[in-house]
Amino acid sequence: MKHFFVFGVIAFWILLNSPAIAHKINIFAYTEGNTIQGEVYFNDGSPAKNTKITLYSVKGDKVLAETKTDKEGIFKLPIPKGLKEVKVVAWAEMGHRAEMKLKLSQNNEIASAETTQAKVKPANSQVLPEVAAANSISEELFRKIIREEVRKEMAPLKKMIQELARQADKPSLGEILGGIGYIFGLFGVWAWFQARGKRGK
Amino acid sequence: MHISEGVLSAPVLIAGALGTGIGTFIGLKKISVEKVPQIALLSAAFFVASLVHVPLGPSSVHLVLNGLVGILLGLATFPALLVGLFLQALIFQFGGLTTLGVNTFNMAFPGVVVYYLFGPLVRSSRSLIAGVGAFLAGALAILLSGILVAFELTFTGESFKAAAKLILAAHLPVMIIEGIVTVLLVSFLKKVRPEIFGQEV
Repeated sequence: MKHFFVFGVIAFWILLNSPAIAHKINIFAYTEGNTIQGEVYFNDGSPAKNTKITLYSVKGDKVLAETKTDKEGIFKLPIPKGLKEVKVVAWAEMGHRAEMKLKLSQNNEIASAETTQAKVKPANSQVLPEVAAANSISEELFRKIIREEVRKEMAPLKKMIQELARQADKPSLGEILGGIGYIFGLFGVWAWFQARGKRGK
Repeated sequence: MHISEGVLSAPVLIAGALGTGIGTFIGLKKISVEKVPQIALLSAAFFVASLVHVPLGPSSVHLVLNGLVGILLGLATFPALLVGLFLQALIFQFGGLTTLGVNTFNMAFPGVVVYYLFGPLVRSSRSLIAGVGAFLAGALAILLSGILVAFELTFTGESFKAAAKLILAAHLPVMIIEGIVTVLLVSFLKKVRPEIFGQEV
């Protein structure tokens, strides 16, 4: 029995120290500008290269777009028009599949708000001509600058969220030990019942 | 090895679940009280083995251990792997609950096959013969599992040749490592616990 524990310790050491190919893929997608971007990776965090990505509508399972991931497991898809939510599905070899639902509503709203405001603006500038003159840069350009700045500021945050998602997908030591505990507990209960049945006879 | 949810069609899933159900039923009927702790231990070993990654060149592979479990447990491989896979699906989201039947069959059935094919060799008193038997058991169990997965994926429209080629290429190193690990564990167990090879399952 003692040797079994030695084996266990070695096994854990290998487990905690090495990267791998695996039994599960994960997908993490987000919207960026006019595209849906995302990445596919195995449960240990290594990228899933050349994986087929399909974009579905949530209802009706209609295929909207298809692409493949690059060397870093990253993919880009155009945002389909007129949809509030889409489903992004990754298909890796050997029967691996992962999906993620992505809400588009916010982005669409912002886009529509932008256009309505742009239409209202000329009337405003007529009311306050001096303000409009003071703003030497046009409204549209200003918005573009803000958008770019916000994107720059958000980039590290997005990275952090991605990193967190990866960490959450990795099996933790607690989960592993918990699983082993369940197995022994289950078989323990079984052995107990069997033993009781025998005694009863 | 773990087929994800939403890949296979319903008939394949049902067939897999039926196969696993029958295997588990027969396995449970055959188990003696003395064998229960062994099954628990091997179930736990299998549960952890999928998380043990052996570094190999640029990537790495993980152990399955279905050959070892098969050689030691015979038909009781079914309940042992069913429990292990159930917890892997629940805790790590490897595979899934709908594919539990198929996945269990894919890994447990080859275990039972190698038990009947190589069991007599492994039980041989000559260590060389036992070693060869153990290696073949470990390697062939993986090969059979891979073939089963490839066969099931053909029902999704993937061509058997392409799927089998891919799975074979990915699993050839696993077969060799698995064979070696099985030899090591079997020879070790034969030294410290020779009696477990004598027990009928």
